[in-house]
Amino acid sequence: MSKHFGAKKALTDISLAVPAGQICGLIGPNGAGKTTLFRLLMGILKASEGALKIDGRGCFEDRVEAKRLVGFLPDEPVFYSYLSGREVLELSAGMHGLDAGAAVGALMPTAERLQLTDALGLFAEDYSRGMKKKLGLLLALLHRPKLLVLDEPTNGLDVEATRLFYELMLDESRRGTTILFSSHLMDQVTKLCTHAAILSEGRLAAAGAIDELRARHDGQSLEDVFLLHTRAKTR
Amino acid sequence: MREPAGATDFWATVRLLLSFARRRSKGRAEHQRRLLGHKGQSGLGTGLGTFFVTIVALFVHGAAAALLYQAMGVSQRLNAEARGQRLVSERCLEILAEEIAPGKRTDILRVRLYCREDRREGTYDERNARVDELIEHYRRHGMAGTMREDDRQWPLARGSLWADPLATVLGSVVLAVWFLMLAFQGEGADLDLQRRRHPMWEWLLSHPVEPRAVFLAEMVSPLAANLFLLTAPVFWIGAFWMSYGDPLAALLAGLAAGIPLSVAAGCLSKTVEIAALLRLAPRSRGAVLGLLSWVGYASYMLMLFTALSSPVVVAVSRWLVPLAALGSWPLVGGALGLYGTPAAWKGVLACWAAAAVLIAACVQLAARATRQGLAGGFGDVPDAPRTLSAAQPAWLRRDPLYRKELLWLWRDRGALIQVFLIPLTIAGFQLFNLRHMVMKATQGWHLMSGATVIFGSYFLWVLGPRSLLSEGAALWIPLTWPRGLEDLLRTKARLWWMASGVIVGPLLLITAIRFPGDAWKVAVVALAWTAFSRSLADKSVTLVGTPTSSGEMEPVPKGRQWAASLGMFTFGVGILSQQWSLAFAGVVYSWMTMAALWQNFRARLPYLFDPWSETLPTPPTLMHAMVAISAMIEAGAFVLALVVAFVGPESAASARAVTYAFVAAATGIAVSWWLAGRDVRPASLWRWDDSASVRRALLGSAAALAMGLTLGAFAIGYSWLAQRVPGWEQAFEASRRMLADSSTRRWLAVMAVGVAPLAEEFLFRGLLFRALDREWGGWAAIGGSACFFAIYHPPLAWIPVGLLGAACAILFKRSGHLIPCVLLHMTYNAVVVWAT
Repeated sequence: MSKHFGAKKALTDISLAVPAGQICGLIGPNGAGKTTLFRLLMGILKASEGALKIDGRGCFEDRVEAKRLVGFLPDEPVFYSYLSGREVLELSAGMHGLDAGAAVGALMPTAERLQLTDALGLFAEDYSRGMKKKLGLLLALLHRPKLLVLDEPTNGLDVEATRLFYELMLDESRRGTTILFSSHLMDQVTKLCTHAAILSEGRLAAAGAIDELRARHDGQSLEDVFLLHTRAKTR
Repeated sequence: MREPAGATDFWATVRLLLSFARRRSKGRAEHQRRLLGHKGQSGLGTGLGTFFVTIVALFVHGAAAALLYQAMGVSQRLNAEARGQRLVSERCLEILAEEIAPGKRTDILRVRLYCREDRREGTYDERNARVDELIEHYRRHGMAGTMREDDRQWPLARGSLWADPLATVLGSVVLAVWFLMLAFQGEGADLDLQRRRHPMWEWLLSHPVEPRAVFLAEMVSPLAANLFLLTAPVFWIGAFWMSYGDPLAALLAGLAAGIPLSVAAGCLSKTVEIAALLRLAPRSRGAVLGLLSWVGYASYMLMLFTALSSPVVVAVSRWLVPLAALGSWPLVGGALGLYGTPAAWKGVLACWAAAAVLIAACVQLAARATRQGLAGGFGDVPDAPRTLSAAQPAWLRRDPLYRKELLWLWRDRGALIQVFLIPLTIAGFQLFNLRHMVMKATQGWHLMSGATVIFGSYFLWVLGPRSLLSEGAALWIPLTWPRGLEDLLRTKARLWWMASGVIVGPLLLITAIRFPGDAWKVAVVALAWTAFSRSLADKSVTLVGTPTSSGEMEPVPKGRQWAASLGMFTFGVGILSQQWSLAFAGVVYSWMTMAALWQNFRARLPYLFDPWSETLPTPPTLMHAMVAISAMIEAGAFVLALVVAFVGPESAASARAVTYAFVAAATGIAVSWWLAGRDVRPASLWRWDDSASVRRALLGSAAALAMGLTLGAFAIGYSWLAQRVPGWEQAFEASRRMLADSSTRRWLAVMAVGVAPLAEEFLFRGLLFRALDREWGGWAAIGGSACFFAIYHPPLAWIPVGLLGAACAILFKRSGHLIPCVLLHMTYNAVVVWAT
């Protein structure tokens, strides 16, 4: 698929498949098109050419159904200034057609792990950056999606919260949830992911299982592979 | 605050930031042009829009100067009234002395001619009534009861009028309101009530620059974007001209005084905004910023409307008379340099001094607010939100969106300002245009109800486009929901509908109490309002704006605004003029335009954040049908007028038939050609879908003949009964007189049987019903298209015509072809024409 904004080409000839239940890291320099790709997956944008599908459903054409399958966490989540964290969760649960009380209740163990339970009664807008990320993550998990799309998920999280995030992601992956997240932290991608996709200037420079990627590049580290594909273009 | 070591020079920083503010403004305009260009629209609209706004801004400042002039003049009048005198012109005084002399019969018309005030003082009758009162006053008090209007007071510097305490009070109030209007215009865009820290400040302040330079540039930047600030010197040019009478001196002095005061106004606005954003709790910021916006708007409208209406100036001035007892206010005299030996340069210096003090104070305040604000210290901000009562109604527990909106209204202090204060103010000012009707509202139930309905319509009109304000930057959350924005906007529309009911309901109740004999009519209006307002609310939310990635709101195209306004006042006008048929037509038309707008909006909704990918909705749409119908009606009326003017009224019947045929054919061909350009084959418009077969067409045609005869018979029976309804027989009599001529009857038959069925079935069923069925489906589509078809016919025929419309719609869908509908329509018309 490709995506243009007028004359500007945001994404060109992207062809990527993420196997179910895997964790795929989307890495690329700033402006590579990661956020655009996420917005395409969320059905907010429409591909100029080609199509994106989640579990066989078109992200744009079947966006109503596709959104039931996707949980999204933006880079800088902002919440309603007049709702508490719990109320934001209850609202989203209701809009996904779930029993708000039951859905939020089911999420409480995760909220406990993220140490956010006490803050859920406070205005979400007053949370710290890290707390907003945690609430955003809970929001993404609320409706038990098949695909998690996370934009810089550990941005703003402290060390302990980052470790908790790793555990959560691995647990979700074991439950069969597919995870696609963007990150600038190579060690995070290497530690968590089974697959990686490298975006550079709107094109897919390389993609595949991490082990295969490294094998294709003479066993170099993922960081070296990334730099190899991006540095030549940015020079 | 000390300048940091190695910091950039103060003025260099200001210049740099201002140049980028200018680039930002240009970039925004360029982005709009590109977006319009991509959608196939020209950027000419943007240029014309800027030109239009400039003209409006110049007019407003000119009106403000005129208001200052009026205020000075009114003080003379009120001073005279305080002494028991009437203020009149010298010529009027001469005429009074001539006409009201012992033994002379007063020529009242002559007195009225010379003593009547100008048109802005009220209606013709009202002005005559005041002259009659003046005559009586003169008869009782003679010359001592009058005061000559002193023209030597103009220009102000020549006389002492400006020094009169009342004149100084009125002039100072005008000046203050003008300044408030200017100060709180902002950058001309809707304020983002959810804005938190300005994203640029913290980044800018992390550079080695003086914070005061950053804020000065921030304060001056609206001058780059807001035409009201740029054109502000026009007010001062007018004021100096009024004071000194020399146009050239007024121009120079006005520019010299106006420019620094514009800068000072911008600074004041930004300072308050900065202080609010940095020092107030999040849920109070919206309220303060909303109030600023309201003050700016209210002052602007107050300035505009009072300048256009002298009675309002006089009325407001009377309220301010007690303030004159406190003494003279130095604002006007000082700003215009009238104290001592009047000189324009004194006034300019005074304005410079005032502007300098204000700018310096604003910059210092802003820097101080930043120091305290960025360091925290928000005082006693409650951490935990108050919760709604546990005893919530079931519908509230069930619907998460209603609950969310209620919490927004309850907890965000800016919400009530955005939802009620600003829209009510805008709607209230719009009623000024109808002031003569409003002032007479208590004279009739229809006037009071009509004014209420129009007020409610304005209220909804203003509210709709603001529907996404409560989302702010949290708009990403609804985008993750399966039905995303559509459910949210539908809920908003319902809430606005309920809010309008809260406002209109009590007003109608007061009307019913005021006119108990007509209470049942007011109840009908209330019922109709329930339906009408629902459609209006749904329409207005389709005008919702979305923020770009940089935070600015995308403008709504004028064409869409115009389409949404169709039928907006028809209902109210129908009530005012006590024409129930017009009111009903207004409700039907509003519902149809609502359906048309939502059809287009639903097609556009997926591309709300991706306008580059936007595609047109599947044609033919409801909007296409409505435009085609309206075009045929309007073109037909225009062409008929030309033809009748050419051939004479005696040939009106034949002219009508020929014109109708010609215009209908032209419309059909034009529509088919236009839709062909959008890949809609003309032949497909005559079929419901591709499954239509010849067999079904033949069966449909047979059914059409039977239905046409049955409905025609019904129409004849209905007509027989209707003629016996008291009050309706006159309409039938008029129709009979028109059809007395055989030639008229022949041409009517040609039109009704030969032309109208083809044209109307193509438009109302081939286009309209097809599109409406996609939108509403089932009986709603059949009933809606039938009602819309009926209102294009005389009211007395609505019932049989409505049934005909419904029958044609059902037949079209069942038979799959339009030809049976044409046959049905022809048969019906033939039976009715034969009976007539």
